[in-house]
Amino acid sequence: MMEMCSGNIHVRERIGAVMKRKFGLKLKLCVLPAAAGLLVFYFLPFFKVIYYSFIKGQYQKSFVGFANYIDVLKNAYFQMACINTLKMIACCVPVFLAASVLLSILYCGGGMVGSFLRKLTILPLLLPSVSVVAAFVLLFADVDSSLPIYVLFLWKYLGMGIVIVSSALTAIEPQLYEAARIDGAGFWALHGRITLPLCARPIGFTAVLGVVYCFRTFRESYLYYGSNYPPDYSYTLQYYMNNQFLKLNYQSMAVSSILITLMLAVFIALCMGRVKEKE
Amino acid sequence: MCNKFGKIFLLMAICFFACACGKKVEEEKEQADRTISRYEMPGLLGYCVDEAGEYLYCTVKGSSSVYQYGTDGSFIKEIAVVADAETEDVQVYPDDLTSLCIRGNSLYCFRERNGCLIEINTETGEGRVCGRLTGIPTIRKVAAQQDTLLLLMFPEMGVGILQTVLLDLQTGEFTTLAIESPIAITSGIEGDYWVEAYDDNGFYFQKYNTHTNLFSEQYRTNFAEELSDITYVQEENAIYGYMPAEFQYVRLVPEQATVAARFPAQRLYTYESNMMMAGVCLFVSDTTLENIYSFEPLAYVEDNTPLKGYVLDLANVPDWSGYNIDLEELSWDALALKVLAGDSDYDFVVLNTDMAEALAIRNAMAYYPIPEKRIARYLQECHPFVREAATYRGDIWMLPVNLYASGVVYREDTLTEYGISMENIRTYEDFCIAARVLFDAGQSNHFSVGYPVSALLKEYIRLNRKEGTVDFNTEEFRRLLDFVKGEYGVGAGFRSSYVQINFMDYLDFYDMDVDDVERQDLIWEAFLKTVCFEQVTGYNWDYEKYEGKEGFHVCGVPTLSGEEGTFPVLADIIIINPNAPNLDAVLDFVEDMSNNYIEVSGRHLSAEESVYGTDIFSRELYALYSNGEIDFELPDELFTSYYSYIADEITDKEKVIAELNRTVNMYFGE
Repeated sequence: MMEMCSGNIHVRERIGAVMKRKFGLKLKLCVLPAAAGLLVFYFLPFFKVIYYSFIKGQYQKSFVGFANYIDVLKNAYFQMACINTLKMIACCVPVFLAASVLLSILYCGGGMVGSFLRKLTILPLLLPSVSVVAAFVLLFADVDSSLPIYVLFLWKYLGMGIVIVSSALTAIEPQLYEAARIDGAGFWALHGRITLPLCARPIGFTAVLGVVYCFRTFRESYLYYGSNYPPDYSYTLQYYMNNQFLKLNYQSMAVSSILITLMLAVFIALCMGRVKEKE
Repeated sequence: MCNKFGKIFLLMAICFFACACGKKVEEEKEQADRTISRYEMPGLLGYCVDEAGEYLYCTVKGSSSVYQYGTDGSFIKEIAVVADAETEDVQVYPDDLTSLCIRGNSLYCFRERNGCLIEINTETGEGRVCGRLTGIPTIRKVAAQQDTLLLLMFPEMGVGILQTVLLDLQTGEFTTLAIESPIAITSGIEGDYWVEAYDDNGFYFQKYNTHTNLFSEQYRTNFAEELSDITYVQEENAIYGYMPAEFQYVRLVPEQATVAARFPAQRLYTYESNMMMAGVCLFVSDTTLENIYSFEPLAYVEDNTPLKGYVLDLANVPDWSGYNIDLEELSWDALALKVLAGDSDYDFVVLNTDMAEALAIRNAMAYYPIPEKRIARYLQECHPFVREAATYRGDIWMLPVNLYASGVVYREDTLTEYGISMENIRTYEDFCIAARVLFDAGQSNHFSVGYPVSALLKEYIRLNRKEGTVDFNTEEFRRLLDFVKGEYGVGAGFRSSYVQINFMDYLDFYDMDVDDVERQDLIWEAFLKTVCFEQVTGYNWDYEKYEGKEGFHVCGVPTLSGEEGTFPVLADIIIINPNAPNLDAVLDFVEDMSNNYIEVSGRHLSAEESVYGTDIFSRELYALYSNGEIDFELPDELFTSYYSYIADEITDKEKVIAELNRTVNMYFGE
């Protein structure tokens, strides 16, 4: 009898394994269209960009090795643009992250008022950049630094950071906080020991998003300065690339894109590595 | 085996037939009759031609009759128009008959004196009043269908907004059609009228059907200028029109109005040409010169696959040598994307060298090199500097089709009266001093000084551009800033004086009645005598009005430094897309354009002196262009601080200099 039972269990296990394998296969098939889309619309164009970075010109397809890379890396304005972009990331992203986390915590504990304020912070994302920038031009008329662009960045995108972190916060079991409070944990201990570790992944994602948003602030910056040649301190990689585009210099654009992608990849890898380490 | 030989024979026969067909077409093209017939009609007021092109009907000043001629010019008969004899007059206009229009045996005309539209049977000469307009309207054109007439008219004495008014020939009732801004009308196929109109989005054609009382959809064109008159040709389903701003005829299929063929034939100086097709000939009239002209339009139109071209400014290439072209205006962002993507949806682009984009295309080698043998004559006859600018790395990368050199036209004797000699005017400062002398002497409206703001800056850059950088931190540039600020600002009141002759005045001047023209001729001559000098931008019409006129001279615009050198010349250029879908056709187009344009004196491309006039003015103009150099300009946005300084938005001169150094060198360096 025992043997029969163990035999049944064995058969069930085998059936279960087969079922699981079939389900996994179905899942993979479901992913296939998305993967194909990614390949066609992302990887293939990107490979083409890589190809363009190694040829002389769009209409002179001779292979030039790393000459385009050397030209771009040596270019004083590319260097200036890189430094300004990194400065912006270094200044804006930490503030963006800290403000997202802090405001999310405050809003989540703020009941109806908090909920209302959270919704309010989304509003700048919906407003047309042109009208917003016009107000900023008036507000920062005498400022000779990148500050207005940094503030514009925070003003516009902070809402998105708050939404992401808030949704992560709501997923944390309230009992955890209750238990910690009973054990005598204060505000900093509560969020330093519970919130941050449990929200590490969404916060990491918010940091990546912050970097991406830094690159997307070009439109606002362009409207703010009204020129393709802003003051040196605000000349970022997007300006460099946009100007190369207007001069039909695709090779410099391609090289810049690849370098930016590499920079982002390194940053994301570092972020994710740190998150995994925390977990 | 036999079957195999049979197939080969058949194939050879087909090839032979195809080759023979091609040859015949070519021969026909070469033999195409481009003669223009001219009918002199003293006192011409209105005319029309019957559908077969056999008879010409016209009315003349001071006569109450319609005169019938054969199209060979022979007089046939006079038809007295008396049907409206008992109608009460409105004593404003003389007893003239205008706005002639014919359909079958029914000839329609309008008597301005009493507002009567009269229908006359051309065979019997009998007539009737088919409608009477109240007020004192002016009719620009009449088009006829079976039971209706469509009038394009000003309701009151040639003023106000044009209207399209439909007259029911049975009831004599008038109905105003709901078209906001009509420009020209013509009859279409049975019951249809075509109307050309415009709105905020540009010009369009719309069909109105008198049976259904419905309008068709609007067929939009890509024109920057209006067609002042149109006619519909049923056999071709095409509309022919005349574009007076460019002196060009246009042929298009209304349902695809973005594709058009433009060609020059008989130049007209009037808006009311009463264009009509009869047989294979297009008839137009020029009441100013009292002539009727006819020519075969198809002799001017190419039977090519429509070419697609992009322009940043539609006005750059007016003459298309009869090629069917879909020319579309595009922003540089959009065009740059197409160029970089290697799009094959267009055949060529047209740019001006004052756009930095032209050099961008050259540097990116985004052009199809024009084979030298295709434009051999052009290259041989054009100014050397044109050839030089068109050559890049051994290739002909573009075809200049228009040159513009700024100059100063002056009347030596008038200037001498005020103690001014152009020979002593070397710099812009001298030039402004001379202008002030004239202004103080009360010579307002007889001289013109262009604002030197942009020209001087560009000259400075041209002279100081070394190894891809320009240094603005110099004493010379500081002097320039002081000068332009002083001249542009408070002290520049004298410059509001300008020569009140411009292109539109020139056209209006020719668009008058004969008596007026005679009178205006005297005014014109007298006025020209008073012109002291005019700084012109270099368009054809800038110089045209002075050509052949006695006492006028032309020289280059004074410079910043006063040193003599080459004169900057701007050019409209055509660049072929390396991925052009109709490469052979576009090369044919460029070849034809090059051959046509090199012959036109107004384009100033030819280095052959014989192309130009022999008067002193034309000689000097030729010398001006011969000493030119095609100028590729930088984007204006680099100089925002400079313009802001002149407009007093920035007051710190050093800040402007630093900013210019930064932006211009960034442009070169990035």
